[in-house]
Amino acid sequence: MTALEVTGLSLQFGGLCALDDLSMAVEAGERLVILGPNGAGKTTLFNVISGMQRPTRGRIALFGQDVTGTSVARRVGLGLGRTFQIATLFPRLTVLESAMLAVQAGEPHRFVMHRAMGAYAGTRRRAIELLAAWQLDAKADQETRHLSYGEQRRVELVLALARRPRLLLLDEPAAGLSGEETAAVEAMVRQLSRDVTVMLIEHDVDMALRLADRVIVLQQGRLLASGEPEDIRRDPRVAEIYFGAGHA
Amino acid sequence: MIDGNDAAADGARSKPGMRLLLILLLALATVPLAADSYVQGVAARMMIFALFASSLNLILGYAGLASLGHAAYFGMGAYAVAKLSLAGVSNLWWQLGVACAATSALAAVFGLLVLRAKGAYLLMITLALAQVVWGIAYGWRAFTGADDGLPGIHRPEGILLWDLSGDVGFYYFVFAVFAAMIWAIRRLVDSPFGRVLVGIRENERRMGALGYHVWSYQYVACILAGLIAGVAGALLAWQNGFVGPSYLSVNYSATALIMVILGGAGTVLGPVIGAFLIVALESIVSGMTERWVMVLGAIYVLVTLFAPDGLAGVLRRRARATP
Amino acid sequence: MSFWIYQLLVGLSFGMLLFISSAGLALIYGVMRILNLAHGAFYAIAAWLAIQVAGYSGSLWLAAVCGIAATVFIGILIERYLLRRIAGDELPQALMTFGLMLILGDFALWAWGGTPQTLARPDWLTGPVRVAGVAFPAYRLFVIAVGVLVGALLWYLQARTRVGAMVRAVADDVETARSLGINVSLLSSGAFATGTALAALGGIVGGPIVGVHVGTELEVLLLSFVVVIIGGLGSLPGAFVGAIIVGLVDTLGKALVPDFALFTLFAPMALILAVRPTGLFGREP
Repeated sequence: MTALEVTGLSLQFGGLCALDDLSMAVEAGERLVILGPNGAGKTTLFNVISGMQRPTRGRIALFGQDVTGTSVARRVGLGLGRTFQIATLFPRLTVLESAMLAVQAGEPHRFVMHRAMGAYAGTRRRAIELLAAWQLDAKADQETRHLSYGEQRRVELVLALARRPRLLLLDEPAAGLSGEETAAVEAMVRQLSRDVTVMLIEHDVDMALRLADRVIVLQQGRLLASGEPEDIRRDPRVAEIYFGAGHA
Repeated sequence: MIDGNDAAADGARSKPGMRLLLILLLALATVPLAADSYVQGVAARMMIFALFASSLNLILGYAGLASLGHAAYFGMGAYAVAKLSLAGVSNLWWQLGVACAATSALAAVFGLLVLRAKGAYLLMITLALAQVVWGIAYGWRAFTGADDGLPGIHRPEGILLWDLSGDVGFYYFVFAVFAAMIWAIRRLVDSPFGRVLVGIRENERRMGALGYHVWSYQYVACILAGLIAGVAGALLAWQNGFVGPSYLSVNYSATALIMVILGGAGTVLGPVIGAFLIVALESIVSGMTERWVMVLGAIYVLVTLFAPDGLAGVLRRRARATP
Repeated sequence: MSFWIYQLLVGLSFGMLLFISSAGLALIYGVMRILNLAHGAFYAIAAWLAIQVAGYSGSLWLAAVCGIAATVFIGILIERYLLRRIAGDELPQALMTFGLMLILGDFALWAWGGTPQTLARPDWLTGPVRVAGVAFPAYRLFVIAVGVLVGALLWYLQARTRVGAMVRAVADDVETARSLGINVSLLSSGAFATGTALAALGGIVGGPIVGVHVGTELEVLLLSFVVVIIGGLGSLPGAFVGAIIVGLVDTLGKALVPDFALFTLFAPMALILAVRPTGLFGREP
């Protein structure tokens, strides 16, 4: 089954082409890594897939359904989850409350006005489970802004996973982390069940290639190369724009 | 840990907050027994403005949407009951029902227009829309009495044996509405809906990415805030027996803002305290000097300089400094 | 026909007065991102002071200079000692300047009383002038001339000078401007002082035609708001076009449907905001 298919996707800002006639597909369960220099359109691609930016042209299908013009909420409902490059959390909410909000987003009581959110035991239980799974349960009562950077990246993941996404977009989950923490992120992604399709943007190329089933390389909004990690590593065009400095 | 989702920024569930609220209510309940009718009138004004400020706090403090035009709803509620009363409709429920319907309809229209704007534009568009309503009230002499306003409003008929025409009876009616509304707001901000609003205030984009339909939450919050402001306006119209364009003025909108900020936005009790302080100060200072407006201006400057998070913020900082 | 020409000229002169009064609001927002709700109070204070000085000395020039200088001095004090402490936060800034408006307005009421007053107009501008066969007050033509002059001067400063280039850089992106070595703090003070001076000039130029009374500060503020909302916050060309539109709409509104003059003014603004939230010349925030 195809988790995601984009066809002829273009996005123009004024004279600039952030995405240029991009077509690609991701199989269910696949780990797809997206490489490319800064400004290649990687984050823009995530924004367009998740519905935060409208493409100028092109079509997006999630699990076989055309979602091109639909809202973010609809795509999340179909099983899309994402993280952000810069951790965007709820600074003054506690970790548990953040997780409960994330879990609750998929539940029918999300519009209820007369009962306390804390009274929904199922939501609370699931939020605590998630936090425990990512070793955040000890931090549950702290405000998110008081957490360390590495912990915040984990909260970011918990929020993205809370609704059990079937397609997870990870935008540089290891950015700004120490070597040890990066290893933890790698282990985290490995831990994810194969029911979840993962698309990953990452600047740590070695880690990215270790995780990938397949790699695509973007340059100036176009698909430059696509293939197995080893092929990509050997591709001279890729080496030139991407590994240039390190492998010369 | 299970009892732990008590975010410091939201005093709704804090025990000291609850205790303070109960003490306040108890004190307010005894006012007619202990004080003369002047003090009783001031206390009623306090509760009315506390309700007005609390309604603004719902969108400012919880949903993170500032407004310089909240008086539009307050005035709309006041004019609605005034027109009905002058037309001979004396039933409480009719008057209140029409006031609520009119203000929430107005908020539903304005909400469509304002929710696209952010920051300074949001402040300006809310002010502009409120000025449209003010302009109508000020210009349409035949319907609104223009700058003379509408005097001679009668308080509505009582409920069963509860007579609202007398000062004490009306005072307890204001008290009951105030207590019920504050209780409802407490429930609301703790509810999934209220927590989602706080999430939107903290990080709108993230709430969208989680799958929440951000706009509809903000829109509903706007309507609720408009409705509660309308009830407050209706109460003031009954209390004063008069409405005028000033009810819709930017002065009222700004006063509500400073009440919320002074007490502490995003807390249930903050706007109540802020409104109580400013109304109390107004009646004390006005008795001593004609320069109340200058004092009020100084309050704006002092609050924004020294207590931008309000008294709640000052207390929180104090509490953190002395563990 | 002559009715329309007369109304057109009245509208245009009122528009130019509005441009002078609101250009400062646009400038201050453009450079500092401060929504200065005390702007109308600066207008009123300058007018009151000028009337006072003119009454003592009989010299209108002295009155104008004193009115502007004293108001700019107040503005500089406010920027240095109050606004600077809460930089970068729109709502507190708006509330603080609202408070300052209340203080200045109430001070004016206390010092000069509640009677509306007008500033005398200079002798050489008292008579009427014939324009296209219509007798028209010379002073109103003078207001149009001053407005055009101020507009041209501001345009020249912004488009053709080094200071103007720096102002544009700061308005575009404060951080980048700072990294280019621009003294943002000094430029902000300069912009605030200039904005205050423009408001004060508005008060003095408008003194002989609209005068000053209790509540002028709020009226001028609201009209200036309408102007910059229609034109686009922080845009000088926008303020110019917006002022002409508002001047004409307001004048025609008062002439044709006097009861709803305020409504005819604010309703088009609400409409423009609803269709184009950033105004005619504004950019996406």
